[in-house]
Amino acid sequence: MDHKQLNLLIKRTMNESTAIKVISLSTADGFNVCTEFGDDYRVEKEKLSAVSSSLASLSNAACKQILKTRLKATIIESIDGNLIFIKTKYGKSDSVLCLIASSELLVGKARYYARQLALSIHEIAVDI
Amino acid sequence: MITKKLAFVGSVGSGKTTLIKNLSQTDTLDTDVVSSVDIGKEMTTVGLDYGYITVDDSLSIGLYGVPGQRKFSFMWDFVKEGLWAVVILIKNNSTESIKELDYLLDYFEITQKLPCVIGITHSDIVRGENTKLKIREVLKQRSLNLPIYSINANLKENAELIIRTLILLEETNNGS
Ligand SMILES: Nc1nc2c(ncn2[C@@H]2O[C@H](COP(=O)(O)OP(=O)(O)OP(=O)(O)O)[C@@H](O)[C@H]2O)c(=O)[nH]1
Ligand SMILES: [Mg+2]
Repeated sequence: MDHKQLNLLIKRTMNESTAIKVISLSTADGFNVCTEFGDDYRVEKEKLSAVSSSLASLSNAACKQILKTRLKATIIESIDGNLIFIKTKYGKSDSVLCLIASSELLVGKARYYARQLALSIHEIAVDI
Repeated sequence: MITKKLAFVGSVGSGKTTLIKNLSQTDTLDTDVVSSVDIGKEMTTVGLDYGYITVDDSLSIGLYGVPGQRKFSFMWDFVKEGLWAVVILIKNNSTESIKELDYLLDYFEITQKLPCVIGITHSDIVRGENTKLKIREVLKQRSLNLPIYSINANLKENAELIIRTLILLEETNNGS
């Protein structure tokens, strides 16, 4: 499967800020679809995909079953930076987008980039 | 009131989510998503199943179901903390599911001291009596003696039998 358009969109968002360390798209059930790393930053992408899938499902369950509303994003703030997870669709397949950025990028800005990217990914016409 | 933590573990499709749904007295937490690969069923757990039962005035049990896929084992680590008991589910006549038993016994550090029951599921639709023998072999090598039941995860009575057995096992352990 060729993910040319997806790669392009992800790279474009990567270029918005050097504080963005990783952008990764995974299937809802935790398989890696595509991952881009910033300079000198690496994480195990299979593990990131599995964690993205679990966290998104748990956040979604919390919103639906406790708050009785719909999930927008899951945000994890760490000492060094932030992780943003957003549910999206890639083709027909339920997916989770993850953006990791160091704390130089304000969390609101990181969330904005992630949301814009999630929307663009949803609009890609692929047959999967 | 004491709340105890009970884990349901076992291979993909062994019936963990189904069993917890049937046991729980509250709506269960649902973290199943559509599987993107063929696993013999549509949905799979990627987060955690959670349900709850009140046994009597003094005891309630939190039911925790993990995802069967090993790549989610960081969720297993979370469930493993402070466990009271474990239910291991094995799909009847599934070599893969039986093979997973060894791995799970190690991962969850099952000893004779921890209340643990093995449930063979799908035996209502898949014929064959070999599964029980194979499980016994695995347990024997570890000098473990655990109750093994053939159950239908869709039946509430079967599920309740497991809970009663675990409570009995704990009482026996405490008494001896
Ligand atoms: N007939 C029959 N069907 C069963 C039994 N146990 C489970 N099933 C069915 O098998 C399917 C799989 O069950 P799940 O509860 O999703 O399995 P799981 O162990 O939670 O699987 P993962 O979350 O993917 O690891 C469901 O469609 C159940 O209805 C059983 O004992 N008998
Ligand atoms: Mg399940």
